Amino acid sequence: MGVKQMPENEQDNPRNAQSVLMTATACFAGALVPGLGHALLRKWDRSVVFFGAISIMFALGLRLQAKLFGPDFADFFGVLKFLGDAGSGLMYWFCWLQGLGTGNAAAYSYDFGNLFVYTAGLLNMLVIIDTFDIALGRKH
Amino acid sequence: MLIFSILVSLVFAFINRSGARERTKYFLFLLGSFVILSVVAAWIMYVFPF
Repeated sequence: MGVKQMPENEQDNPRNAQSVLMTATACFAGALVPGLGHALLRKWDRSVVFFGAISIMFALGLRLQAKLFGPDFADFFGVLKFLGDAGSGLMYWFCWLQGLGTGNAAAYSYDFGNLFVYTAGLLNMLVIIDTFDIALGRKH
Repeated sequence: MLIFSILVSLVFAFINRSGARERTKYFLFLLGSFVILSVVAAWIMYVFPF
């Protein structure tokens, strides 16, 4: 009574395979562009807000003369800085390859700019986790 | 600081709450917390000479 009938072999269920593929695609898209994963899951309001907020935060960070740390694995904190920056996805890679975000450590706004860029990347990581939960049906 | 607080509160409100009313309440709570705690922390740090 009230117990949901499960298929005999869940891996053979085409809906299950489709769900896994959709989850992976949405998470990957969200990692590339903030909010794109939610857009694929038709969560338009979240998608727009996440894209807007994270993009503004990243752009403001660059405007405040932040430095975009490259993939330098020489020291531990360098790795953390890189991960924080690169969490923003394609925005980071595009700007980094264009040579933007060279940073000016003498500027008053340098630390604030770095904080904005790190936070944009870390927020996008949270957004990807949210995409994962929604795609799996844990959240609506 | 205010721009930072607004953007972070907005993202957290949309991640953690659903429904416009719940999101608005949570957004205002987070924004107020950011602003008030920042001012309190600055006020406490003011007495330290470093």
